[in-house]
Amino acid sequence: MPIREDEKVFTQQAVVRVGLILASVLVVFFFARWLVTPESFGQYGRYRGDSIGEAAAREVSFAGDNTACKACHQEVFLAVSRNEHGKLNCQSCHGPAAKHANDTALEMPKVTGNAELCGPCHMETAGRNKRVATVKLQLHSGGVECTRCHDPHRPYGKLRG
Amino acid sequence: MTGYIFPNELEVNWGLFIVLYPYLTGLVAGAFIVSSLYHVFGVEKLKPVSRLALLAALAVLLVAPMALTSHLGQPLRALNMLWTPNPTSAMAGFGYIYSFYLIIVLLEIWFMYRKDLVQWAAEKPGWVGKMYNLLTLGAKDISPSALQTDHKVVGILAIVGIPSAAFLHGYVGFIFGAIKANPWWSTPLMPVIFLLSAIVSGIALLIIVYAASCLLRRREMDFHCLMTMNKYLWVFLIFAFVLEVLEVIHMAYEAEKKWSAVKGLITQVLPFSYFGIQLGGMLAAFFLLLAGRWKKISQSIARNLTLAAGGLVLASVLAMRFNVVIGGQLISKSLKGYAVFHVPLWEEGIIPAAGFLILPFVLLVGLVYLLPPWLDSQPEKKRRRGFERNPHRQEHGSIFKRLFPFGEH
Amino acid sequence: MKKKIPRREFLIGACKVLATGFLATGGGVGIGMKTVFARDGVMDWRKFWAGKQWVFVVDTYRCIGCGRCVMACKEENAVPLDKEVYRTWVERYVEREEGVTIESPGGGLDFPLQAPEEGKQFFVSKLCNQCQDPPCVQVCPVSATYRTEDGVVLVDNQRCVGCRYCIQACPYGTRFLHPVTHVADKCTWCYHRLVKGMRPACVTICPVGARKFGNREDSDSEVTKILEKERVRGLKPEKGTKPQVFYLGLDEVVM
Repeated sequence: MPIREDEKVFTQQAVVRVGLILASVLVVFFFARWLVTPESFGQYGRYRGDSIGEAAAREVSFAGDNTACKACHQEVFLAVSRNEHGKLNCQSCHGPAAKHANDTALEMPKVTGNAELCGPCHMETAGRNKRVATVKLQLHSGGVECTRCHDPHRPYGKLRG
Repeated sequence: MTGYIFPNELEVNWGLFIVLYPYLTGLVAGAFIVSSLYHVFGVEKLKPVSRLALLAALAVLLVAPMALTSHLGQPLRALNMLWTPNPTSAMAGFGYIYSFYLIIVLLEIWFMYRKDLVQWAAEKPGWVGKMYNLLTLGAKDISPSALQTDHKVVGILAIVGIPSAAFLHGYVGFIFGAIKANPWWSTPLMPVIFLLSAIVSGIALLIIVYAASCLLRRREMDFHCLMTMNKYLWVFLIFAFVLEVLEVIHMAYEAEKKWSAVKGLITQVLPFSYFGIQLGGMLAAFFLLLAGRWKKISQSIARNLTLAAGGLVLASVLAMRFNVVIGGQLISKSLKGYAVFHVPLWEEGIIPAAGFLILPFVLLVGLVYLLPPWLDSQPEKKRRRGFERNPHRQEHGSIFKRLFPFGEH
Repeated sequence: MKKKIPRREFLIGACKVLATGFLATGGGVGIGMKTVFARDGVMDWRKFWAGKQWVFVVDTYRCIGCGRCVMACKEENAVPLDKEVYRTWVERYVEREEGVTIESPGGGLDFPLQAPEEGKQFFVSKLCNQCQDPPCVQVCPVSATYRTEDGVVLVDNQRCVGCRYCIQACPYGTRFLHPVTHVADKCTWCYHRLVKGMRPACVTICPVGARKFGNREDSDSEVTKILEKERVRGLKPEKGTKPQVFYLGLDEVVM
């Protein structure tokens, strides 16, 4: 007898209705999932494969090295390469130049030779090691622009006396 | 900000909505368990709130994901969690577990009300009747054998629902407890702590909702029902409190590197909401509940003490969610300082958060109008019988016993 | 690839109806068109990854705290300069008798000038460690972040839902919610530059060579030589994440 009663549970109208609704919910779910899962999902791992290409397609702002700069700015390049700033990347001071290197018609932003540019490396502060020359700005120049005396491309050779 | 925090930690990434989310799911789990105490474990005294508990669980359950989705940076992509879940993520299962649980609750309510739905569909005029007609899904067989089946199915769903409710909320605890980067979250106790605080908050919610419903309907409260909730709340409160304190004591005793950061958090950053509201609220509620069961006081005092304790527990658990979710983010991962949480008014701020706290009650009122859960057809005061001396009353008709008739044959 | 064509056709058909919804779903970065077209020009990433394991070395002895890397990173990767979010930042540690002071104002762009003192003082730069066992990848609920086979953790900013679980899971605080796209963002070691044979912008721009980058599987690369000869360590090794940024001269106080 108990077995027959259990059988009844699964054939009751209400249970059948609910079962059908749940089954159709599942079908809709799997169909929707198939529909909206990106095609490249799982191509390389459990992620959307195309997203690697998208990450890699981001535009470059900083050129890789100074080669492109050298092609046009030979004179400056020769001067700077013989002294302390010789190993620097031009863009460390001049800012991102990839666009300018690709299309020289696009001008680089003007670089002003003031303490704001030189200071981050050359002002004396706690923690800064002595690998670079550091100064106490007020004692050193009293606020006069660095380029009044120094040419960043020949930092130790003073400009005027 | 005090001390040093990493620059990216200036913004507290999980705000008030994420405080609300575990709070709301906790209320759901707790309310569901109260309803199951009657339906599965045959605690007959909880009958007056058994249906109300389920409706309350549904009302809160519907709001919980709203808070969650509103918090997302890209809310329209929320379903990605169902389409491409990451099996290693402690969060990816949320969509599935939540959906499963929602289905269980909906089905249980439907089977419970099916007979009423069929009757209302026949009785009520106009579009109201049509709506009930639609809700019957055309299953209008209310023969005794069909109703017997309904009853059985409700029992089965209630049994399946208990582990589901526990899992839904324990899982929320795991989302936090499994984050090794966060010294305040990372503990295996977290799912259990969340579960217990969920149960106490759910019982407290029902105490308040039941009192409010009686007030609004101008009925006398079923005192025994209230005292039964008092008793269960009191017992679970002990476990919840012990675990929450144990976690911190354990951390303090081990005194690993992270302890100094955690200690600073609870003693300097969140002392009021941690010691004052979270722990203090629980302690106060513990004593109020105890006092409420003291036999020498009048019923109305006992009732008020129980209600006050319910309110305190609701506040305490909300503070606990805040202290976990926000507190955990205030400790810098450098362990050298604390961020500051600025509560905005709009966006993820106080006003919409308050809205998410009020919305479940609005939904509940709607649900109660749609599916009246009242089982006290007798006029007020009939059920009042003074004090029950023996709490171990015989419990007849438990579905649990009917499904698992151990020792009866 | 199973059922590729019918699905594509179905999608295109459905696109007319769903176009608005789709674009909205794409959010800040714009989904849809770009995804479909990008498929035709894709390269075989497995070929590119073969024989590559990128590693990063930070020489804390060299760093002078100039902040050029922080600036360059923001410009290179479109991270708003005026927002407190950083793919890389520089910290200053100044040890005094009363304890160590750590700071990173503006991510290291605005260190206040301060006279050097007797105790230990140094700068440490931080960035994504591209962990071998990244917790951020583990916790992402929608599979929107992953580690490529050449060792870089990337974010799929068209699938990320912005739940910020990864931000919580990173022990190093290197992830953040991008204020414009509203998805998780992080250092990618300038993956778009690596693909073109360039080094990350911060490495390119560092005036003192405190940041070094290269392929560990290339025995001639500078980083391989450092890792073979010098004593290095990564951050928070106890977290078991196997970070791939190695520090020279890392003090115990650094977390």
